[in-house]
Amino acid sequence: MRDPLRVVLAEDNFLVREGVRRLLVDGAEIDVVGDAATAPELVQRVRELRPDAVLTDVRMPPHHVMDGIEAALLLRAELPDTGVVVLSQHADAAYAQALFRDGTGGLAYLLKERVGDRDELVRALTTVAAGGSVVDPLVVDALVSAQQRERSSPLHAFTERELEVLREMARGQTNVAIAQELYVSESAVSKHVSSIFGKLGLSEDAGVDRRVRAVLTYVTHGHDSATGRTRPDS
Amino acid sequence: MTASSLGEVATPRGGARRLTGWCRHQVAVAPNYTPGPGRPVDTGRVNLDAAVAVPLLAWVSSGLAAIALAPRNLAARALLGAATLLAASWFVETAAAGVRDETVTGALLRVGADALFLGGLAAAVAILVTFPHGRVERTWHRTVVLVMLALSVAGPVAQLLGSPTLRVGLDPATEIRNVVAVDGLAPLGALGGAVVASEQVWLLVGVAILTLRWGRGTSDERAELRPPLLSLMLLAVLLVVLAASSLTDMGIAFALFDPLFLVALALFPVVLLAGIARRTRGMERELAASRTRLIEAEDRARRQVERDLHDGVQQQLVAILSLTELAAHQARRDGEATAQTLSDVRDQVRTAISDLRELVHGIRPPVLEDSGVAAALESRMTRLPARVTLDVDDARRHRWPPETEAAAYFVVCEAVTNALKHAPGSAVRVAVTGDHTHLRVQVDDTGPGIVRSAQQGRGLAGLRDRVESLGGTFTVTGDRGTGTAVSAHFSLARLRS
Repeated sequence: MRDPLRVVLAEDNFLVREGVRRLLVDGAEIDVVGDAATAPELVQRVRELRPDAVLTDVRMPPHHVMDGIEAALLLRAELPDTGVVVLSQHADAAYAQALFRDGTGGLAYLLKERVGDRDELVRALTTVAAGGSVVDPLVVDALVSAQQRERSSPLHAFTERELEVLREMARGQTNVAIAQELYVSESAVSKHVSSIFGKLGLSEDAGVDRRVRAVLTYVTHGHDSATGRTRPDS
Repeated sequence: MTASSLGEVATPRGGARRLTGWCRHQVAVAPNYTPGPGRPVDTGRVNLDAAVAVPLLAWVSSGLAAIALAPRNLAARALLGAATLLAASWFVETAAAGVRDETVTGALLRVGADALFLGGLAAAVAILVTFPHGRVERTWHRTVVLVMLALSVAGPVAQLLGSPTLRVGLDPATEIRNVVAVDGLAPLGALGGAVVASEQVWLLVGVAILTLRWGRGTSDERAELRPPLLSLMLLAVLLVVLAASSLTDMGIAFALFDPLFLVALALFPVVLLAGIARRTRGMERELAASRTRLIEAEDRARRQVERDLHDGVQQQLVAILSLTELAAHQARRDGEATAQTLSDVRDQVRTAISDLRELVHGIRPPVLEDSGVAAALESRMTRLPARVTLDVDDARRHRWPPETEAAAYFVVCEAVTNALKHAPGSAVRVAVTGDHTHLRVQVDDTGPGIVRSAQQGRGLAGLRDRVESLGGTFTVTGDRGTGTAVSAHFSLARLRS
């Protein structure tokens, strides 16, 4: 069996921190090696412990604003081998856009209610530790609807089903998993995926991680950056 | 200038003298005042003397401007009222002086002029009582003005019914027999005459009230009352000089100071108008500032609620959710661990429920809406130390508009919190009184008096804004050593308007 994933937990609320810790360590695949109640403490712990992944709250002392996101970006820049899962109570697009402003690799943005699904948490931690990305479906919705505000956005041309598939892709699901989730055949999912990439003007990529990244970059930054060009403000 | 020529000059200006009451009297009783036969024969025409027109015009235009500026201000209304009545009395007096026949018209014009003049004086006193904010500060001030208004009608009417003779003002030269007088009512007439003759005292009463208000006032209030007081002092000095010069036959001094006096008399309403205007602008500024403060307070409150929910119940639910998932995970293999986790879940749910109840109570206690301010405060007391006592009187049997009850409730909560914080160990007494016409809450402590910290100042300002936005009055009294009393009073009559 693989070595357990070494995780540092950051959360200022004691009850939540203990609850999540107990949940994560109730199984052999995760080892919570350290915890922190503030953003600076988290950065320090990670520097000391060099964990595989971090699970952090967004709103923490000292500023109680986006401290968790700032810490995540700092850590990703400093220690590229450490993945960061950000847990947030906010489903607003702005927070996810802030998290993904320098790229999506090794980052996940989940809503706090995902602590009710241990498998999802463990999967997100494993994914970011391997450099992949995960975004909460509700947050993808927020990102998509933010993009749809832009009149020229190709997202207008998406069908309901395609949006569902897009949401699942952003969660980092494979075509097989998406087919199971949506009760459709795998070939139908492939067709939707081709259609999505076609409408977005992106070349289809077989690798799940790279395809999540493409979709996320698209919904986070819009059309220009997804096709390789960077926007002046991003 | 001879004594009789002084009389010549003075007589056509009877109206101007009447404007002051006092001056007229001084001149009238001057020993060398002789209206005499040389006096121009009245034609019954209204004789508008340009010199008198200046102060009259100043009064009337200041009154109109004040009303245009602050239509609901009592002082502005009184200013226009005084100006109108004084101007009318001047016209009627001039007309009366022209009617020398012993007719009903002659009698009516004479008492009418008196009534208008006295009414004008009562209105002038009303100005001095209510300047510049338009509020009556003491009940007895109102009583004084109302008594004067009643006397201004009753006095002349009594004279009309009882006096055997009538004059224009106090001028003996204009005396005619009163054809309306009823035999046997002479004492009543004498009484009416005494009332009319007391007019000099009326203005003095007004000045005395103004001086008292100045003496009692805060430095801000004194600054507001100073200009009219100084203006009145100038008038008094000029009057004394005028009286002295007419008494000592110094015609030149009189000729010099008479126009000065008229100018000062014209300046007085302008000073009043300026005060009312400044006050109105100040109130507009204060209204804008208070609106901003209310919005900021609402914003702060929303942010606080968001924070309380986010850091409180929302986090508790997240923690509970993680534990239920843990229990589900454990249930596959370890029943005992599952039971332990579920008991943790139960404890946390209980805590969350009670925290949520406290939070809701802090936002707006449901009992306030359901059972009223008295019941809400009684319920609030159960969470406070025993040194806080509550006296709800009969208030429990009444209800008031919801926003009034809420404001009263939060005034008490904030004041009690302040008292507990800043007056440690002191007894805190909460009193709620009221009926269908009003609601009053008061919080007294026996602590060290008001400590004006910035935060407390903001809290008090917030309460004041809230109370005043509902038309209520909010007062904080107490200095170092006397304890603090915070009270809010809501009058339902004002609420409806």
